[in-house]
Amino acid sequence: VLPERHRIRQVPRIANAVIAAVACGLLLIVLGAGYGTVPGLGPGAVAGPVRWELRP
Amino acid sequence: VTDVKRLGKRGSYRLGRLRVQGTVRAAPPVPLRPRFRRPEHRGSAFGWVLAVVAGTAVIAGGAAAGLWFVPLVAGVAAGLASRGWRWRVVVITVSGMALAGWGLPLWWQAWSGAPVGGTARVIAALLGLPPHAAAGVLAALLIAVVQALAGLWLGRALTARPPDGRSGPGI
Repeated sequence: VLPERHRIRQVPRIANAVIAAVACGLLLIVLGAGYGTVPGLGPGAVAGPVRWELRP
Repeated sequence: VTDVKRLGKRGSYRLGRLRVQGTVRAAPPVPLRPRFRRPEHRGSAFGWVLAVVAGTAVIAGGAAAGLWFVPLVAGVAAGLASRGWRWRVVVITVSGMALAGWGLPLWWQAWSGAPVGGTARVIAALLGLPPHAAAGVLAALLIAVVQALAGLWLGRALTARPPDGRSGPGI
């Protein structure tokens, strides 16, 4: 495979990894801190050490 | 020019197309035969089962410690480690790991008498769902699964092999 074609064929792969990383980052931010009217439900949704309770 | 002269003549057509003179007749199409790819994952089945159990335990331990982002981390790890496994199998397995990892601590707390239902109702109300305990528990488990699948997506994207045309998508 020519280097140029090889590089072009890598583009979707790299784009997929970048989009996945951005999606994971956004998910962490939304779940951790909330966004707009969506509360950050990550800390509250997990069971916790003693009892399941909503924590800030 | 010669092709134009052959138009309409007997023997000039083959299956509706103009026959080309002076060339070797194309070989008949090879009948499609299904091929089954050999599994490309390494390690024994017992080892993989052990890894799934360990992953579930890590997610459950993280949940018990209040670390809500552990399903995402475990999903990334699963994506990195699951190269060679079919995408469908990995998605189902990782979803099950996340469900069990967050469900077991909740079940344990409910079994030991903790007021799990009240918190579940509040979470359901916060999400705009009917304020039922089941809705809250399902929402919490869904958060775990979504995290794990997002992490899995990232892990698989980081380990995707370059397209060389020799292998399929593995779905």
